Amino acid sequence: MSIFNKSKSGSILIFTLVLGMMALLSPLENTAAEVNMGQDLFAQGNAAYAKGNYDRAIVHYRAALDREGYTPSLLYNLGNAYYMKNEIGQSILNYERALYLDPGNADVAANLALARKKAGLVIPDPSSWKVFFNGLTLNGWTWAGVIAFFIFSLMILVNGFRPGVLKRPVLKMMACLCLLLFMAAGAGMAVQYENLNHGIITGENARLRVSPFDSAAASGIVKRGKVVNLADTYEGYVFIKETNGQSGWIPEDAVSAILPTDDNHQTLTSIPRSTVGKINSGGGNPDMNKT
Amino acid sequence: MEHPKTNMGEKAITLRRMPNRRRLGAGAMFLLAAGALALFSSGSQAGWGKGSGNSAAGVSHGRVSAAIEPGSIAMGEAAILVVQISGEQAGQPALNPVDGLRFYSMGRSSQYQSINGRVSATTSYLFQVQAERAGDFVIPPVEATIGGKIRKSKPVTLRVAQEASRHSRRNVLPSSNRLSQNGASNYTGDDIKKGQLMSWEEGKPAFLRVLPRAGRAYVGELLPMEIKAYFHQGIQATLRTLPVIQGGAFACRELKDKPEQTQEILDGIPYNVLTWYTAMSAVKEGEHPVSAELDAILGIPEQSRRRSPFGRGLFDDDFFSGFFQNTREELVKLTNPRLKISVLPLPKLARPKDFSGAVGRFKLSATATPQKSMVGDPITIKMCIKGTGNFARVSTPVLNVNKDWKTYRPSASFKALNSAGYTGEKSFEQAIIPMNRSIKTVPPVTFSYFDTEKEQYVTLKTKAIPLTLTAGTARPPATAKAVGNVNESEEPVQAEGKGSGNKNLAPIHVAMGPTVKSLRPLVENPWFIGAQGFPVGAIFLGLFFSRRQKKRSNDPGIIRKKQVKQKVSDSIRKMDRAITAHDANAFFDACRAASQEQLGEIWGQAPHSITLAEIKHHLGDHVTGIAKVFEKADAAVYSGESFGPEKLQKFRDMVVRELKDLNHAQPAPHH
Repeated sequence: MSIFNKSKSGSILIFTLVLGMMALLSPLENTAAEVNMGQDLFAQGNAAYAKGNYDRAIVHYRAALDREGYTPSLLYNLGNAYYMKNEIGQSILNYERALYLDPGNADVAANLALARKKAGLVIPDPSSWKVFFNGLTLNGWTWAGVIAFFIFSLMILVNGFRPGVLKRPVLKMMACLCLLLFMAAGAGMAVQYENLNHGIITGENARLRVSPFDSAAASGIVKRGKVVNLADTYEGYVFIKETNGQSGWIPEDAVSAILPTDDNHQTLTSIPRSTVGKINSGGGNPDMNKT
Repeated sequence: MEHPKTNMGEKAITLRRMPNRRRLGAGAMFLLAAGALALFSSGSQAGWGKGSGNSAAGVSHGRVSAAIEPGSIAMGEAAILVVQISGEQAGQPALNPVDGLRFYSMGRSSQYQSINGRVSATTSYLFQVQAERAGDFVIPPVEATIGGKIRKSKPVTLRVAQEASRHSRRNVLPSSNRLSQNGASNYTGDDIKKGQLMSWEEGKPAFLRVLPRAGRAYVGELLPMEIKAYFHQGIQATLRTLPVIQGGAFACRELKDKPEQTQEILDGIPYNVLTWYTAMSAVKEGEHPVSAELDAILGIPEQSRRRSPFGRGLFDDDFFSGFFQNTREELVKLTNPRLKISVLPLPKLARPKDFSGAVGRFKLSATATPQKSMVGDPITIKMCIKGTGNFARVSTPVLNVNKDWKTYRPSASFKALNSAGYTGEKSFEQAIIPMNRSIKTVPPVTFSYFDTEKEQYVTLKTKAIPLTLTAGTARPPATAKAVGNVNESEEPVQAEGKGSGNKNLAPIHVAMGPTVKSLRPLVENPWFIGAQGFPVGAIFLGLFFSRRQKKRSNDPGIIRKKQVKQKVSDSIRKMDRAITAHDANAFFDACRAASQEQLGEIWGQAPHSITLAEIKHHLGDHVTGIAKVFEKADAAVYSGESFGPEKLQKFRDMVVRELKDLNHAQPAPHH
């Protein structure tokens, strides 16, 4: 009887374990399936692109984006597809996003330059120090700074308990290096952070208006693909500032932030930082935004 | 002397006419010294040179003297006329015009002398004399007004010979008659010696030199070259064109609008020099002439021959001479004599297959990033060719890849390290994709060129770059399977159809790579910002402890406590050793010492002053153990009472416990 009882409780235990394992593993399976599906969508996008069917390629790339999230290659390919469709604004937007994730990617940089050239935009060569700080992403600099700060704080803490530890040459040098790295990372973050509020004009011949109303007087036209600073929003309008100092209100569907603050991959659009409103559409082809 | 200035628009070079002190320095100094000597030789009426002036009775009467040096010159050369005027209230000298001679004012110098309160002055005026033709000339007496009276010098003579001699051309002046002459035969770059005028350059106000780095070159080789335009100092020059290289066998790089401006002295004559640095490339073999042409307008200074009917004018002063100097403008075409350059053919023997026409001296390096990658992920190879040579013919180094690789079209960029562009570095960047996990290295890169120093073909080869590959996530074959035969081609994925005209667009990526769910930066995540509290807290904690430790280490009370604690611990160890050694006396000594240290610290007394009576007085019945130990210690010393280890151990535990209690309680001493 006791043996029976033991075997019964053992069976229950094993059954419970198996159930638990299945419960644990099922999300993993789903994730793996999703990854495979994302990869397949990406591959289908590539196939469509290779056949010259750019609309379909964009649909597949966007679907992959929805399923898997952002990757530099995905954004890059999407930019290429838009480029081939002659939607330069969207093309530049996606190249900029790809470059944000992978600043050193030569393909992205080359195609971005090509797209800008095609759009008739002149981007001045950045200064050498800016090139240096653009070598890492904002997150890269953030991690570098955090690690340096963490090590430095640890050394200060140890020095609190064991006074004189930091007087050792090696540790002293290490502390100095950490501080230097921390300062460099701070500068890198500051440089990169400047770009966070940037957006790309995706609408064709977007009109700048002096106030955020349809009836307001136009103060100029902004070329598509142009990088602008997104300063504010108000009821369907975004206040932008150009690098040449020109500023004005522009319909929100004519501009897209490089870094979307919401994680809605479907629209691939964003709200400008420090703003109230919301931009709903990435411009360009409305059909593509519905995927 | 002003440096030549080049204007933006006209390429004008302005050379203000000023006395050339270097050129005339020797003669002028000699004459001035002679004049000064004459002045200071009291009563002496002896003059200097040929034309000693009027034999004045004294300085107070004033005198005018004139002398010329040298007395004989050749065409194209110049002599210096020195007119000395001594006396009070002396005016400027008036030169009478001489047919065939030109006079250029070079400035003046004055000396003042006071003898018995009487001040006299001697002023020397320098004139440069240039001859327009050969022959003997007589310069008539020079007149000057001294003290209201007109004084005259003696006439001086000048002989001008037809031919210039090479040894006596120190005072050579520009002559418009010589501007167009070009009687030099062919020469090579080696013929020209530094700091020397060539025979065909003598007497010219301006001339051109073409200076290649070598007299021979190989076909395709980039030959560095300097083009120098020399302008006699004191001449205004305006460039109408940039130098133009003549010679169909060479291709020359475009010259810069702004040449380098320097000064050079050739055979003692100073020149303003404009230098263009360039390089030319030979396109066909054989011996070919090279020459250059430059159109310029020269402003040659002239002395005004008009004499004012009103005598000395307001602006008849050297100070104003620069402003009101007449100049004669002449359009000239500067050319250099034909320069011969031998162009050698590149040897056909042992010419490498990948030779693209690069000639010079080069170095090759290559890097690959990342070296740890996945199958299907692109690897960027950066190849750099540094050195000197014709970089236009430097093509992409050959990457020896097989079917296991996919290659993208490389991009190239060139960075010149000198103005002529024959030294620099050309960088190539190429994306390649490993398609097979068995690949262990990025294959070597080769580059072939013709070495002009070794005079043979050289093939440079880099080492294979080690590569670590893991299985790819993108699975290019799977991609191909999923979408058909898209990726079966060896070429990267290029678009077809309407967009295939965009050849420059880099192709799409076949690997998707790692994903991120959000583009939101880390610094905006609340958890991340919150996590920064840990290191900040650690810093504050560390600083707090560090400060506390510092404070404690300086507090005498804490130091004393530490010392007492240490001594008590030492005494307890001694007690243990005494128990082990069955040494009751040593045990009680240690016991007493520990108790005294602890109580002394609590009561603020010297440990040795604490006795049994004091303990009983202060603590009463609180510390019976310690009191007992003190008693037993006395007993052991005076009565010879013996104690076993167990007993000693018991005493030890009791004392240690009571010391601990005392330490915690720290009762105030009973006074």
